[in-house]
Amino acid sequence: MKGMISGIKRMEIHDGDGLRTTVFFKGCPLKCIWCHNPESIDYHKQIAIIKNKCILCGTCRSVCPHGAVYLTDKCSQIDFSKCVKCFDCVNTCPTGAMTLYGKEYTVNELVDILMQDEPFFKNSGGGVTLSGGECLAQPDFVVELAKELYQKDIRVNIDTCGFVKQEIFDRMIPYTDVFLYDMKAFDTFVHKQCTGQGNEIILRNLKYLVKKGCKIEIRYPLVMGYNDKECEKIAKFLSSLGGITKVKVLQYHKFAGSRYDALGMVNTLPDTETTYDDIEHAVNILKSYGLNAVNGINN
Amino acid sequence: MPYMEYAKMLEFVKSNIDKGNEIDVLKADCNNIEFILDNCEMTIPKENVFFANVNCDGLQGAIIWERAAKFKKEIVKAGLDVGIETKAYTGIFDFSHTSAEWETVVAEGIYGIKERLEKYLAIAKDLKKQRFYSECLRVYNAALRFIKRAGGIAEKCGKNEMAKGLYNLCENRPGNLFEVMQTMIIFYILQHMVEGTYLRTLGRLDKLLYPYYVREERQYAKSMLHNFLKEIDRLKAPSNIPLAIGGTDENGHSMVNQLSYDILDAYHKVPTVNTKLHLLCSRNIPNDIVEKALIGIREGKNSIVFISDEKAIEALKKLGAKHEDAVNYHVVGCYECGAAGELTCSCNARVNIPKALEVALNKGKDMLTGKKVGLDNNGVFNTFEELYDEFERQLKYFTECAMKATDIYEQHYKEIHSAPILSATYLSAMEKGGDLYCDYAAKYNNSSLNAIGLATAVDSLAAIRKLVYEDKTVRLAELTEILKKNWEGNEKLRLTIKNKFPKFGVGNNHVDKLAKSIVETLSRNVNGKPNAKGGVYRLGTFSIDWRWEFGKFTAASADGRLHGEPLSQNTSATFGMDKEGATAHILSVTSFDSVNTPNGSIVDLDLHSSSVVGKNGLKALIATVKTYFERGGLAIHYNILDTETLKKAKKNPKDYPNLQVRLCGWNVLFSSLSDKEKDEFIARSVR
Repeated sequence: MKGMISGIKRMEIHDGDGLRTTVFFKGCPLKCIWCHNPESIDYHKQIAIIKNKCILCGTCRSVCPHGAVYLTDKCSQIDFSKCVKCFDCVNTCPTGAMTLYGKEYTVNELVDILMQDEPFFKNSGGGVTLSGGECLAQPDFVVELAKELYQKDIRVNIDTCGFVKQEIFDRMIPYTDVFLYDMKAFDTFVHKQCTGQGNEIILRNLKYLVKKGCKIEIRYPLVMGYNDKECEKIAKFLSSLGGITKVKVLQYHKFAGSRYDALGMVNTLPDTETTYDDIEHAVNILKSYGLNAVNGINN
Repeated sequence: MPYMEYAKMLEFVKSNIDKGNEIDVLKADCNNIEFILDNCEMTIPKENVFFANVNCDGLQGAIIWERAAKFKKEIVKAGLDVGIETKAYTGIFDFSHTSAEWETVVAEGIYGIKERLEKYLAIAKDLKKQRFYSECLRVYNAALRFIKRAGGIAEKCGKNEMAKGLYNLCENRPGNLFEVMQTMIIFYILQHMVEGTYLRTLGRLDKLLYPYYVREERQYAKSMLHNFLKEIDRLKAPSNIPLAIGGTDENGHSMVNQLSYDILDAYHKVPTVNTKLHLLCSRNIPNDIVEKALIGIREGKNSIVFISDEKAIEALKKLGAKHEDAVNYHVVGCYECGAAGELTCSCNARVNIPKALEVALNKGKDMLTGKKVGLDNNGVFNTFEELYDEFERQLKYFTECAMKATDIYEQHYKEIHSAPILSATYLSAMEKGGDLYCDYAAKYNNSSLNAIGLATAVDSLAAIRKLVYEDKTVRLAELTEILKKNWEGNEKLRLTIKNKFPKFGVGNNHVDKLAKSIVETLSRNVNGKPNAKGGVYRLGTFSIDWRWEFGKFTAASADGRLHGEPLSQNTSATFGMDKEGATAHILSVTSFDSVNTPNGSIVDLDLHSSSVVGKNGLKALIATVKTYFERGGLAIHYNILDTETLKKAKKNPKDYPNLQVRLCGWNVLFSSLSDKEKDEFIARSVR
């Protein structure tokens, strides 16, 4: 059994307590228009071309067995209708301008990598965060991985959008320290507009996790003009649930724009970035409902 | 007050250089020092609380190199000149990088040391000893006249408190915090501006000042501390003035006290570029002081180095220091620890590690000049192990040459430099009745060798192993030719190696083992080897800014580096090659035990400010320090940089007059860097 991983980031401080290693799983059931990790939306391997690293040496074109690569005056390009995904171009690119998102790991291979920073986890109260994409969209692999880490005394956080079957949560709960649970909108219609899916399942799963007594940190990505008006409703709902340890309001920014280009994906990012003050405003609303809300920029 | 022009004083000082005949260096130096003390210009600016301004810096220093120049012929005679010119290795004297015995300076003051000298002189029977004591006495009497003269100026300026303190110090031991601090500043002036060397530490400041500090009213004491740091900063010593806090006593108890925290506070608040602070971290150091230091760094006080107390002590003991001396160590430079009683000399010999590989590939010859600097070989290596052994053979040869060159200068210390002011603070020098340099009168007379470019060499070896011996895509002879031609026509290969081959700094065991092996071999060849002074050599793996100069003289290397590019910095990964981030970098650097590097090994961690924000960012930072030390690291420091700020500061330096970065072993104003260096920092900050 193998997991499809789009990236591993060590010394991460934004995905739970302490110093952590975050694993980004590839593939997601939602299509959030503001997605910061576009390389994690698709479930399959993807080639990205990082323009400013390309020196137009033509190596990729010369190794491609199917003539799928061509050069423009700025960088190499791929005609994906001809590409058979042999990745020879990626493997021979001297600068790393051709990059592959999506690498398959066995549980043991991944555990070996994640255990490298164990002393740092212990010295900071940190651990591993499984994120994405949607890590729970690869349930068998993620359960095995979390179990293995749990047995090695590594604390595992699950960063999830919540759009999965309840039984998967049942399998995950024994090995999970904290669920980092996304709350993008309360109104299902708004949710569908922003992410492509309604949120009934998401809200139901959240209630379920609360009932089960799980540690939950809510993450609310604030995107002005899209879900900022949801704040009050989210606050009301969350406070009615009880048992939510923290609500982190996350900043939306456009840093991921170049990655959409590199992956040849349509850039759906909204124009307006969230400011510090926007977040403070939302934090204050959430706090007024008795929630432990924090600004994601400096917390 | 009358004083003599700087140029006139220089003329006098230079008349005391050996003109071909043997001269009595101690006597000549004492003549100069007495002359400088009696004639130099001294001023007391309005804002000063302590007397700290003299105009005689560099006078004595100017003659050291001239005296040493005549030994160049011995270097040539020993056949070491070509190796030195091509920067395969160097070897030189080091009259900086050591510490006064501050306990004595603080307890006795200039007056007390003078009295001590009189006592020793009174009972000395040996003529040579008598001569030493009386020369020192002559200098210390001049120092007391100098202090009195300063008192007179203070009085004239209406600085009555200062004048009173200065007059007191002419006839008494320092009695309160003000007098102790003034004594330290005066002593710093005496050893640096007058005696003519630089980079001497202020020692363990929290321990030294504590008894006097707690006797004063808290607010007054704190304000004195601020003034003291300000005045120290005005001394403008090249490469900064080190001071240390923390550490342990002989029984292993933490020495952190209230003053340690107050020093850290003052250090954060007082604008200072010319001092650097070392936090000596024992296992039982209170967490909150490490936190406080890291918060300061995050706010831009980059000039703090964390030293592992345990490793520093272990390494010094292994070199032969007694427990009580090793525990009472001080940091004499950027990262180098010296035992109490040790004349440390941490910057003598240097070897260029990548150059050893260069000559191994090129039959013992420098690739740039074709000159023979290494040992002969036939250029055929059937396995990687054969090549590696040859590299180590050349490296061993370089270390021997570097130590030989150092020995040549060090055996002539009595013809180059004496230090009566410094020597009179050392108990061993008093007991032996001799000068620290001319007579090797310290308890431990050690020398040092620093090996430069570790990561460059490791990455190059790893590249050759993969390219030539595993993938077999290029033959060794071909690669040698490619390197000689500086990769010309082979840019794709160069970039592939640079960007895609395994490197030191990402926690790759297979590669890191090469670093471990190199350091352990160097350690065997250097640590404990006898020097010319009755002491031993100490190995360090820091490069500081020598890496730029050494890089200029080093041909293209197999890691993808071009000829002329700087070598890797200190014990760190090559810039940009720590692709897995700080934790992996730490794992690589701690792949060898730093007890092998008693002269210092250090990792520079570059972090983007956004990656360590908030409380959790602080937790992560603390974990990096702790883990680094648990895994046997010796010293670590940080640059927490923001790319945007650096870019703006490069464009509009006037808007960022106070922005500091840590260059390698010291802090500098960002605005003072060259464009090339600025660009390097900007590149380093991108994550």
